[in-house]
Amino acid sequence: MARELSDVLHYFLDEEEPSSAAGCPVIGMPAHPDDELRGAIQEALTTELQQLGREAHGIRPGWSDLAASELPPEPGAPSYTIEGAAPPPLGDQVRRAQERLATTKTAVVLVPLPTDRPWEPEEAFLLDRCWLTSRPSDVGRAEFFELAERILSLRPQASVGITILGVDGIEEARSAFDALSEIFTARFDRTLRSYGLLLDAQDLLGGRLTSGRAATTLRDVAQLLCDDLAPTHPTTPTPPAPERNPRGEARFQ
Amino acid sequence: MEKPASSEMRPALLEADQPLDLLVEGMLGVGASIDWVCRNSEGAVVLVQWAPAGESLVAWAHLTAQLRWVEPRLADWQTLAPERDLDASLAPTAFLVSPEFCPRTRELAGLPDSPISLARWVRLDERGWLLPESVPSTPASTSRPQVAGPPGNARAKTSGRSVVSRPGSHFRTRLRDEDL
Repeated sequence: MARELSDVLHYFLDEEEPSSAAGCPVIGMPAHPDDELRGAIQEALTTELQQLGREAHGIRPGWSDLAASELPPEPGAPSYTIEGAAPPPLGDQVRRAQERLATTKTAVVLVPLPTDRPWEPEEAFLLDRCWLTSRPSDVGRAEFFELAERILSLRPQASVGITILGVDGIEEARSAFDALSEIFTARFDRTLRSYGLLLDAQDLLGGRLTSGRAATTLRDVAQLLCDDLAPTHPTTPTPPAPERNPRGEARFQ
Repeated sequence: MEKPASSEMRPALLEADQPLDLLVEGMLGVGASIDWVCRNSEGAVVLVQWAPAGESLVAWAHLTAQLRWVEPRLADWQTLAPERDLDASLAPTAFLVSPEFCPRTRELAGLPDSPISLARWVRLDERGWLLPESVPSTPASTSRPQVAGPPGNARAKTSGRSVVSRPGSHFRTRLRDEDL
């Protein structure tokens, strides 16, 4: 039987390392699982990205991956979790979602990364593009830098972006971001990406909003994220392009 | 001046500063037809509408309504015609083409958030050309799609507004205080 080069090529090439590079973009969103506000923000962001035409899929750790429109079961409803069975690893869930979305050009997978446990090396690819939120308080700043340290120690080439919470206007958010960005650059020698601000974030706890400051600013955040996502895949590699610091030096190289 | 035929408009669109690929002509929009539906090099949908002399203001209103009608349908178009390579995440923009524009239309086109640009249609050497129409500028209008070519990539869904940044600051937002 005649064979072509593609039929035997795998004999000569290394096994492909599983990673997100071949799939749609993944946005890692580190947060404590008990943090209801951040959970609500992440869900609302998934929905907003869908509104902007992105095929956004939110992953729920321990669950099968769900679209944002699919809600968890009502309290008292039968659980889908098999007792005693360990939930599938987060990285596997994301890869399955990526496989399913392989032909969807506008797909993006959003994955909450639980901060109450160590992240496994196999999950490191989920950190390639991280989106965090932070408040301009001492506690908020400390929490942000602790997370940034964790992310960059496991994934030195990660792109870290942030949305400012707990402010009352654009100028206040700008000042808060600039302060964080300056320290971030000095400490990690890389650029912190800005994803705007989120006002009245607590309003998102009640479900999806269509008006008001929370809805307006969330839409802006989603649009900024959309802008940074590669328009197509799989022809475009997932990890964001190396950024340059204000001194113009290439990073991640 | 008569409305140009699609066979005459197509090369003019292709030769614009930012070339536009004509996808559909005479598409039924909301309550009326959209003369030409195009795609720019980034995959954004650009509506092009002809306005007879003296009717540019009415055509502006028509285009505004059609833009609003088109936007939520982009994802469906993308699904139905993937070979067109449309990017539904990009907000649609529009181009109003006319042999002349009234002062009120030109004022509207000078608004900083306008997703509609103006182009004058002229016939030279037995063919049609699209020439950018200068509009009254405002200090805030620098971020809008320039009329020096067909509307480009307006990524902000709501306004076609660029990201506002400040020298020395990497903070990004498209919002202004008055939006909040």
